Order: sequence, then C-alpha cells, then structure tokens
Amino acid sequence: MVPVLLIGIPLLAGLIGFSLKNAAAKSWALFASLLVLGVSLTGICLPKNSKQLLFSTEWMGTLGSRFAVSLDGTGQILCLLTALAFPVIFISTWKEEYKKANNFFSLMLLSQTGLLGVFLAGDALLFYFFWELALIPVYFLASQWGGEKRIAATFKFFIYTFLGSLMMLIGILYIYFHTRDHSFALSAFYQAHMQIPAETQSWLFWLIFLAFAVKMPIFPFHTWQPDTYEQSPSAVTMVLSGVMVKMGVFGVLRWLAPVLPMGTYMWGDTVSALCIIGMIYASLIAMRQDDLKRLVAYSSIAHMGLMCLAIFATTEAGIQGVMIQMFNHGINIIGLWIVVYLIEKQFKTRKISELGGIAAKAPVLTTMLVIITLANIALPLTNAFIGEFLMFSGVYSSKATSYNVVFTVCAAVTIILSAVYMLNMVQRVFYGPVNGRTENAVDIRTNEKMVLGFLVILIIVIGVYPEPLFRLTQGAVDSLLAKMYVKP
Amino acid sequence: MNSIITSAVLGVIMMFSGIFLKKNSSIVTLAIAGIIVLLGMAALDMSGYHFFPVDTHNMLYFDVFGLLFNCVAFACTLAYFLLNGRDIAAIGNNPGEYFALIFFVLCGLSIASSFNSLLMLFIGIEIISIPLYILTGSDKRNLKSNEASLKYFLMGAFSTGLMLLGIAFLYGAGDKGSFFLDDLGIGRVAGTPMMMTGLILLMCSMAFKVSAAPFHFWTPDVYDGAPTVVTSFMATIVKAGVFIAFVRLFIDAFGDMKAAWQIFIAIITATTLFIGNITAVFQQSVKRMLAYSSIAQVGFMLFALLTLNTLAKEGIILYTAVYSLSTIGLFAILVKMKDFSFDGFNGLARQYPIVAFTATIFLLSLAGIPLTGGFMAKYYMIAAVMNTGSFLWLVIFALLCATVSVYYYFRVIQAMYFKDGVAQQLNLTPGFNGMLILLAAIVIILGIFPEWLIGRLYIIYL
Amino acid sequence: MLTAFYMFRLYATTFLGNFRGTEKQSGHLHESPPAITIPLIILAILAVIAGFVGIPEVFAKNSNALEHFLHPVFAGGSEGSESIPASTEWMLMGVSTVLALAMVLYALSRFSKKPELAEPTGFGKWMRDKFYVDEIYDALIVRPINALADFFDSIVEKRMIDGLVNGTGRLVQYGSRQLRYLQSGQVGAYVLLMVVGIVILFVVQLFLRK
Repeated sequence: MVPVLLIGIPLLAGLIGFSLKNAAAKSWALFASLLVLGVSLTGICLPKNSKQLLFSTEWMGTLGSRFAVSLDGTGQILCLLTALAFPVIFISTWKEEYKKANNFFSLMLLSQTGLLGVFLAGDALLFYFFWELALIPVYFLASQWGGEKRIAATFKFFIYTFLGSLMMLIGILYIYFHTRDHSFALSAFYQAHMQIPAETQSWLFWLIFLAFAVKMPIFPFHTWQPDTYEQSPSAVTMVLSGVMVKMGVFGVLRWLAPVLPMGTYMWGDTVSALCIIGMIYASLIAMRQDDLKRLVAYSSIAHMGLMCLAIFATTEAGIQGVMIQMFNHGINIIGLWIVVYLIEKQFKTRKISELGGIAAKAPVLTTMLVIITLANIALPLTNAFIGEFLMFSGVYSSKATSYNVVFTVCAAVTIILSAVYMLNMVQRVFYGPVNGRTENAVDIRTNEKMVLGFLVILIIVIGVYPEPLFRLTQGAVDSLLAKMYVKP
Repeated sequence: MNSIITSAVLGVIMMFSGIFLKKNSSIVTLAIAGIIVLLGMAALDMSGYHFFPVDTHNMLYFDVFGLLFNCVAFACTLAYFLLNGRDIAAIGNNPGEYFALIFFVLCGLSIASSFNSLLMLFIGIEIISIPLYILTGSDKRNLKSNEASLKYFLMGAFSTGLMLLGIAFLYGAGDKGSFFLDDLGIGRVAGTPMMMTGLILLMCSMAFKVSAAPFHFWTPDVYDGAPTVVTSFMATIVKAGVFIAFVRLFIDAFGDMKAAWQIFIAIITATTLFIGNITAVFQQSVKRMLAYSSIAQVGFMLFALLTLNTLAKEGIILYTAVYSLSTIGLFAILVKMKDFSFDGFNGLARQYPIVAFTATIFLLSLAGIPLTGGFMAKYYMIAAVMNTGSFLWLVIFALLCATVSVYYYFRVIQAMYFKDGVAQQLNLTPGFNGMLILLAAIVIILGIFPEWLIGRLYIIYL
Repeated sequence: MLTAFYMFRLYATTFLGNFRGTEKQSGHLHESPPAITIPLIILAILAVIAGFVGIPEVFAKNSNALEHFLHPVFAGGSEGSESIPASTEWMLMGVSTVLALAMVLYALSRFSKKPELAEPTGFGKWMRDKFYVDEIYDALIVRPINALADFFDSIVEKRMIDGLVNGTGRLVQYGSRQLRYLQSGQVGAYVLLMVVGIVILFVVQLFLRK
C-alpha cells in the first residue's frame, strides 16, 4: 500500500493542480508534498518484511511485465530524500511568483511522481516508464520558466538523456529475453546473468550504463549539466540536483551492478578512472567559475563522481557510504541551492565578482551557508563526512581493483580542491568589502530561516548520529554485495 | 466479406448523394453514418456474422488479423471524418465524390488485408491507388495539387508495372504455376533465382506504395501538394492498409524462407530510417515535416516485416492504430491553420490550450515517449527484433534515428509552449476540441494498456 | 639557544633603551590595569614552580613528580630504560644553562643600546620573509593549478567535449541540409533512383550471395 500511496498522491495532486487557481496551487502542492512525506516516514517505521511495502498487479501479461512496486532499503532512503526535498523546496521558494503557477506546481508534483516511481519500481519495464516520466515534466518546467537560453540548454538535456535511456531499453530487452521465464521482474533480472556470457555482459554493461552515466553525470557525459542547471528556475535546479541525479546512482545500485556483475567487474577500473578524472576535472573548473550556479553545478559533478567510484569498489563500507551519501548530498546540495537562490533574489546577480560582504548585514544567512559549505567539504561533524569517510575506506580496501590506492589518493585531492573553491566562494561573497550591490542587504525571512535551519540541524544530527540511516540500508547493502560477487 | 461489399455500396451511395443532397453538411452526416455502418459491419464480421456468403474460391481469406485491422482502419476513418468532415467537403465542388472515393479506397483496403492470392493483392492495391490519384488532384485550382497527382500517377504506374512483373515471375517460379500464396514459398528454405527475382520486384513495388526508401521520393511531393485533408488520409490509413498487405504477403507466402530476403528488408529499413529522419530535421514546413516523419515511422514498422514473429504481428496492429490516430490528430490541427511553418505554431498554447495539449500528446506519441501508445508500438517492434537475436546493429541505429526524430517533433512543442507569438486564428467547430481530447485519451490508454487492442487478436468468437 | 636569543631580543628592543615612538604615543604609556598584570604575575610564579616539578634526580631523589605521574602512559616503553649516570645529568644541565645565559647576555648587550631598525639584508631578509615558502608554494602549486583549471574550462570543456556534443547536432543539421537536395522534384530523377535501388538489390542477390 505504501508504495502505491507514494506514487498515487503526487500523481493525483498534480493532475488536480492543473485546474486550480494560481494562489491555491502553491498551498495545494505544499500540502500534497507534506502528505507524501508523512507516508514515506510511515513506510520507514514499518518492519522490513511488512506486506504493506509491496504491491504487485497484472499489467501487461503477454509482455511479462507487472505493475510491481516495492520499498527496500535503497528505495526507502531515496524516497525519504524525495519526500523531504519537495516540501523544503516549496517552502524555500514560497515567495517566488510564477506565471501560470498552477501548471508549475502540478508539473513539480508530476515530476515527484516519476522520481518516486523510479525508486520504487520492481519491474524493469515499469522502471523504464518512470525513468522517462520523471524527465518530461522537468523538461517542460525548465523550458517554460527558465532563463534566457533555456530552450537550447534543456533541449540538449532532453536529447542526451533520451539517447541514454533508449540504449538502456535495448539492454533491458536483451536481458529480458534471457530470463528464464521471459519476465521483467527484478528477481528474474537478478537471475538472468547466469545465462549471459561475460563477453556479452561487457557491451551490455555499457548500453545500460550509458543512461546512468548521462544522468549522474560522469565525465565525459556531463556537458549538459552546467548549462541546464544554470538556465533552469531555482526550484527545478533543486529537484534536478538534489534528487534526479540520484536516479543514476540508484540505477547502478539496483539495476546494473547486481544484474551484470561480470560486466561491472570487467569495466570497474575504466569507470573508476573516468570518475576520478571527472572529479578532479570538475573541481578544477569549479575553482574558476564566477557564476554561483555553475560553481555548485561543477561541485555536484565532483561529488557524484565519488559516489560512482565507491560503488565500483564493491566493498561494504563503500556501498554503505554511497547509500548514506546519496541522502546527505541531496540535503547539502539543496541547502546550497537555496542559498544561491536567496542571493540571486536579493542582489539580482549570481556573479561572485559582483558580490561581497554580505555577512555584515545578513548574519543568519551567512551562518547557515557556512555550515552547509563545511558539509559540502565533508568536514567532520557534518553528515557528508560520514558518507565520504565510508566511501574512502571502501575504495581503499577494495579488492575489485588493483589501483585502489591511486584512486583513494586522487579522490582525496578532490576534497582539498573542494575546500578551495567553496571557502573561496564564501570568503568573496560573504566576507570581504561591501560594494554597491550588497550595501542594503537584508537578512533572510522566517520561512527561509526555518528551512535552512532544518537542513542544518539534519546535517549536524546525521553527522553525529548516523546509526538510524545505517540500519535502514544495511539489509540492502548486504544483499547487493552478495549479488555483485564475482569469483576473480 | 462484409466490409468489401458494404464499402463498395456506400461508395456508390455517396456518389449519388451529390445529386440529391444540396448542402455539404448533409453529405458529411451521410458519410459519417456510412462509416459507422461500415465499422459495425466489420465488427460483426470479426464476431462471426457474415452477411454476404460469397465463395471466393480461396482467393480471399478472412482471418482475425485482417479483420481486426479492418476495424482499426474504419475506426480511424470515423475519427478522421468526425474531425475533418467539413474540410473534406470543402476541397472543391464535388463533395459527394470525395467521400465516394474514400469509401472505394476503404474497399480496396478490405481486399488488401484479406487476400490469399496474388491477383487479389494486385486488385486490392490498385483499388486503393486509383482513387487516391484522383483525390490528390482534387483541388483543381491549385497547381501543386495537379502536379502532385500527376507525379503520383506516373510513379504509381511504374510501380504497378513492377508488381505485375514480379507476380508473373512468381507465377512461373512456383511448382504448379498458381497465384495462391500458399503455393509460393511454403516449405521452402531458399528460393530459386526466378522466385527471388519475383520476390524482389514485388518487394520493391510494395515498398513504393508504403514509401520506404529508396522508393519514397514521391511521398514528400505528393503529400505536400495534395490538399491537407487528403494527405491526412493518405499518410495514415492508406499507408497502414498497404503495410498490412505487405506483412500479410510475406508471412503467408515467404514466411519460411526468411533468411533469403531478410537482408533486403534490413537494407531498406536502414535507408528509410536514415533518409526519413535526417531529411525531416531541416524542414521548415510542418506539413512537409510530417510527410518525412511518416517515412521515418514506416522505417520502424518495417521491423515487423523483418521479423514476422508473434510480437511483430501484435505490434504492427498497435503501431498502425497509434500512428494513424496521432497523425490524424496532428493533420486535423494543421488543416485549420493557414501558415504551415514552425513559427506559425508560436504561442498556440496560450490561445488554444486544448489544441496545444493534445498536439503535444500526439507528438510525444510519434516520438516514442513512454506513457503514450507510440512508445508501446516502438517497444513491440524493438522487442520483436531482439527476440530473434540478430540485427542488433539495426536496433541501435533505429534508436539513434529515434533520438533525431525527437528533435523535429519537439520543435513544434517548443514553438507552441515556449516561444512567444501571436497565434493564428483557427476556426474551430465546437466538437473539434472534444474529438481531439478523445483521440489523445485513446493514445494514452493504448500506451498504458495496449493489451486492450492486441488482446482482440486472440479472442475467438464462435 | 635560538629561543633565548629571540626572546631577549624582543625584551630588549621593546622594554629597554630609549623610547622610539612619537610624542603622542608616549602619552599613552602606562602600566597595564590589574586585570592584565595580576594574571601575568600569577603565571610567572607558576612558571617558576613548574620548573621545580620535574626536577632531575641529582638534586633530590624521587622528586620528579611528573615522571611518576606520567608513568602509566609510558608503561610499555619504560621497561628497558636505564637511569642516566649522575655526571651526565650534571653535564647536560650545566651546558644548556651556560649556553642559554650566554645568548641572553649577548642579546641584551646587542639590542638594548642600539636597536637595529634597518631592513635586514641577505640572510636576515630571507628569514624575515618566511624563507619565501609561501611564494614558492604559490608559484609551484597555486598558479599552475589555476592555469590548469582555466585550460580545462575554456579549452577542454567548451571546445572539446561540448564541441563534440554540439558538433553532433550541427552535423545532423548539415546532413539534413544536403540530403534534402535528393528530393529534386523531378520525376525522372526519382524513378532513376528507384531503379538504382532495385539494381543494387539484384546485384546483392545475384552476385554477392552464394
């Protein structure tokens, strides 16, 4: 029941939202997203084997596809993130005036449906459906309410992602025809690799991985990301960066690594090398960015690279770290985007060179930002430290690759670089001399304080006591590692 | 048999209606009544009520596949009449004749979907083509229409010649010299040179009718020159019908010797996909873009011909239904517009939100986005190929082309929603929006529950 | 030794000798308020006492309170330790105290009467400017990394990778522009192309397949 509610509530709410008046749409969207949050929290409190966490019904019998949705450890944590992210986004952008707000909020709710569906799907064709469905509302949102060059940027984003998805469809179909009883079910897919020889797994891996690589994004498939983030409206960027990129990581965790363990093992080094290159590359570029949005965008690429690296390390610490970090990164990056949004709203510019000395007039904003920044750098006491530490130890102790030390060292360099650009940004934007633009800075309002404060509390609490999240995902981690095991 | 005779009779009725009925609207109403009767007859035919027992000496064989297709085709024609009826009558001075010709085409479709003999195939194809030559040129005052009609006729005659030569070769190549499909290739694994020659010639002429490359060159000019309502009919229902004939021919006659001719179909498919999609990218007129898009869609449909398995048969019915509905919807909107260029769609969403929304659904369906019928149709095609285990390169190539197609379909969406402009005035009748919404709903329902249509292939009526 | 030198240089230049500031500044000279001086006095007394806490064995047996206090911490390491003979202890104490006192006297004598105010040259300059470590660091690491980052941003990102992606789009557009010329509008050309297609198929069938 829980998964059906999780998908059904935003879907219905979104469809109803189209017919509401603009003013009511905002409250309606917030209400619906809070409802989803409630359902998600309930789902977490239920015991692991509860019947309520599964739902399966006939859909396309002759095709071997069922409408099967289920909540397991990986799905729980990401559903929680999605359920948490949307109310946060709505509250933090409450004062924003959108033209045709009812369409805007309905499309946001529909995109939440698609995202939740991806995390819940237990059937490959259903997974593909939701993968594309998450894309369409976001495309319309970014194209209609975005910046000046939005049409070209979002179109590139759409075609790039669509191409990846189509290749993934071929891969899914190939595996489908090699399952014992021609079914799309997750369990059938987990058995299928025994019928597929290693050479085939090799190119099959890339067909499916392409979709996820574009989504995360991994170097060199990342060029759509900075432009799209820059041109989208802030709320959409928060959805894109906070939740959508996790679709890519989730896809690898659930639909690629356990389904094609041989392929994952064979290409692990190559993918890890690409991740490392991407991390260092993106961090370096972030150092030279003047536009706040592009800086955060490149920072996001670096963080996702680390997560992908940790998956391919195939160790318990690494994968546990990835699970936690997906949640943490979501929170941290949404916090960062909220701050960027607030700065842009007030000072009408995103350029670091045009800002300065905001701390003098806006101490609360500065404090929140500094904590979020430190979380981004993965300072101990923040949530990201837990995730990154686990991932680093996972990569270092990895038996799946012979370059684990090299990877760890390079990844550590990225942390230093991230400290450089983040602290540089903080120093130049918030400290330093006040200029004409920032003279009349006003501190943030109550709703924004509430939201940022909530995120900061989460950051510190999880940083100090991550145990509940570990318990949530432990089962999934263990079963995943068991499936990924390949005799060397 | 019901449909053949009923449609012919209806055609004659429509011819004479022009004398007795003076107002266009009554003619349209009569036509709509006629197509409903025809649809009813086809449905009854599927359920087993045959009203006209005619002994065709096994030349026509009515199986569920053909009869279901008839129902689909007539249902699409009903939608077509409901959307465009007034515009069909407004083409020129002879409204009754236009509908009569359409009904004759439907008669040819019914023959072509149920043939068991090469002679019947020929007759069916010709009955389809000749009224279309006339319909293409029916806008007598427009030079482009005349030119299109003549081009179509000339090239059609050429392809008919090819078809007859192919049939002659096949007649000579068979063991006992017969036109029946059963006697041609059943049980053979490879073909004799004479049989292969006949097969290739027949394949080329059918490819011409279906507008597969490199025999597609008539399509952009003819579709562009014909009156838009006629293009709508040609690009959807006629193309679907001829395609079903194509599939039927190869399943029944040459199904066992697949290895002999699959490579040709593969070459034709790849060429069609490439030319159709790439050329469509640069078009400046939406009407011409849709013409090339129909070529590209045929490229996908050819997968069914490539594989000829169960998935293919189910898929082709779904594909024709979804493709026809989407394209009819799009053309119906185009008919109401004066400016066919992409910029002519600017700002349409603000003025006519329902039209824009349904157009978006149709475009998403053509592009193959999940939740729309177009995705399920493409899925069946791809699944059919993957089931055979070979031609993987073709699948990858096809999906690359599908990505290219997203570009030109989305240009229309972008113009409607994201670009500012003053939309042109469309004179919409009140039922127009409702009809569009119904079509869009069917497209989405077929996208989520394709079994609803495909399941009918397997319902056995006593 | 070095500590003695610089500490007493500091003391001598700041507190001894003549006042080197302006008239106005001299008016500000005063003893610090008790809030500062009392803690300083207490700390000074404690500093002296602390010196007696760790007093070596030679002066009084078993009076090194610190050693016993910290004994558990080094439990593992102290098993093999021997006590140092008394003469070594005397020598160590003597030498270090003498050297320190010598430096103290040297510093006092050098700096109390004529404080050096000129810019240090040569070695002194090198020491003052932190051995130029920061500058070396800047040149070796910071600047090249910035340059590398700029290179990545402008060349690799914009021209190579994004160029590839955008280039694909442009290639498709270009292909379309050229391909549409096939559609010439001339029926003869169309039929010719059709015949060429048929001939190719026949060639494949009759000659290339055996």
